[in-house]
Amino acid sequence: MNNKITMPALVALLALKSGLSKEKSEEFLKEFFKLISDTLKEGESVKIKALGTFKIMSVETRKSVNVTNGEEIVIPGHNRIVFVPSREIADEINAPFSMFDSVELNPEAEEEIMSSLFTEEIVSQSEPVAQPSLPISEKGEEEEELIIENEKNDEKIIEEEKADEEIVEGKESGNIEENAVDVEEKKDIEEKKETVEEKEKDDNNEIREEEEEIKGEIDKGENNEEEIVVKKGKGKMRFAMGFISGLVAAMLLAGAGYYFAVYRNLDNLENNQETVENPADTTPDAVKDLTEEADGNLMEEVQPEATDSSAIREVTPKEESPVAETQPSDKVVKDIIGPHNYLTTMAQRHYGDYNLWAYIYEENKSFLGHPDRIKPGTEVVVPPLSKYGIDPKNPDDVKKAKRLGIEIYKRFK
Amino acid sequence: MDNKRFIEILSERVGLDKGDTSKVIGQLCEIISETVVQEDCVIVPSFGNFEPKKKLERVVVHPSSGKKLLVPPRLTLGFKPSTLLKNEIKGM
Repeated sequence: MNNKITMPALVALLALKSGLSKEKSEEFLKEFFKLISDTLKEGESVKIKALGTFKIMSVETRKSVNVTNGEEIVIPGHNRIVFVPSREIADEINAPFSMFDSVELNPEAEEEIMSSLFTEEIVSQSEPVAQPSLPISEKGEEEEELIIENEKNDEKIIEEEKADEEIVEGKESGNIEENAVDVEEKKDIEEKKETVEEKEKDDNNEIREEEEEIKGEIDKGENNEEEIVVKKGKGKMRFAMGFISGLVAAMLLAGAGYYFAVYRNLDNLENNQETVENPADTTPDAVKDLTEEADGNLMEEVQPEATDSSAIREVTPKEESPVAETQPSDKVVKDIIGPHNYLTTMAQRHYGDYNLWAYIYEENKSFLGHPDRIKPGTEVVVPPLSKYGIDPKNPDDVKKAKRLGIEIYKRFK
Repeated sequence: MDNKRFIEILSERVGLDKGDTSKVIGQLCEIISETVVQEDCVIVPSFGNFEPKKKLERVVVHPSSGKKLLVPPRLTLGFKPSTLLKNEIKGM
């Protein structure tokens, strides 16, 4: 890089390549460049097929300003040499940038493209993060509020719940639909209840139940881990991934919730099976509660509130965290290199840290050349990080990835 | 002066036949391009330098359709004539 190849070095290189003696190749070089300059001095342009064209262009007389004292000066007309490289040599030199094509710009899209070109990483991080955080916070508030409200009248609670759900509706339509169904059911059941004490307990349990239902059905969905990750508010990139798949999960939830509700009304036994099948409801207490609730055997509800809630609180962190940790890194994902999709952007997207691109490269090194010159359209396997024992949150592992990246570049020197 | 004529004159001056001359020219150009690809620069005294030039991306307007195009950045082979040659040409 930035080395200077001078005449003696050029002579040596040419002698090596052509098999001519050094004296002969030196003579050749001297004659070659002398002939070009001689021809140019005669005012003629020179075309050398393999290198390019040397032309003489006349520059017209023009006015200018002396930079130091601001006086106007006149630059007299003169000739200058213009060199236009040949097609082949230009392509060869432009190889690192050859994947780029001219892009047509819409007047509106222009700024977007410009900003995405310069701050691609920043955009990819910040853009999706802001949106998914809204439903999470509202959801959290909703749940908190519900627990507090338990002590008040049940009717009030239902009203409040409804209000809360309406607020969230715009953002998580799927969940709300399901919630709405549950609320209606609750109303039906509660109309049958007579005792005030029991009502309070029921309500409490139902809210818990509702929470559990949601979680159980989340686990059913394919993209469950992202949904949970969104809830937990972990890595920023996981948020971004989670938001998209969270929407899909929300749709699934809506379907599942409706299905669930219909079954409950039709047949209590089937309902019981449904709840048992839910992966999240593994705690026997919870299952018992659910079935009891559904059967309308309200009299048997003797379990104190405290144990009830603690059981559920135990369930949630245990169930969520391993799913969130392991699943995203266990998948074998494929991705395609494109004009705006490099190994680094892939690493940022899949692992949350662009420095980990080196591992994607390592996984595919059998067919990849120089990491900066991968042809667009190449499909690469994005390996699970567990394969290399790497944790994107561990600064030591990131350092290791950086070192590996440097090593990869060294291979091509 | 085109490529053919250039090879003719050069082969006379160097004393090689035309085929060999054209072959050696090809090899010389390969050396230059290989060097420049590595971001090195070839210096030929009293003639000039061959060096890589980075052209930044830019927005151009298509003259007939009026559409805006984003031209990607590119690397080109730049030639900078030596002062001696430049001045001789300038005075013509």
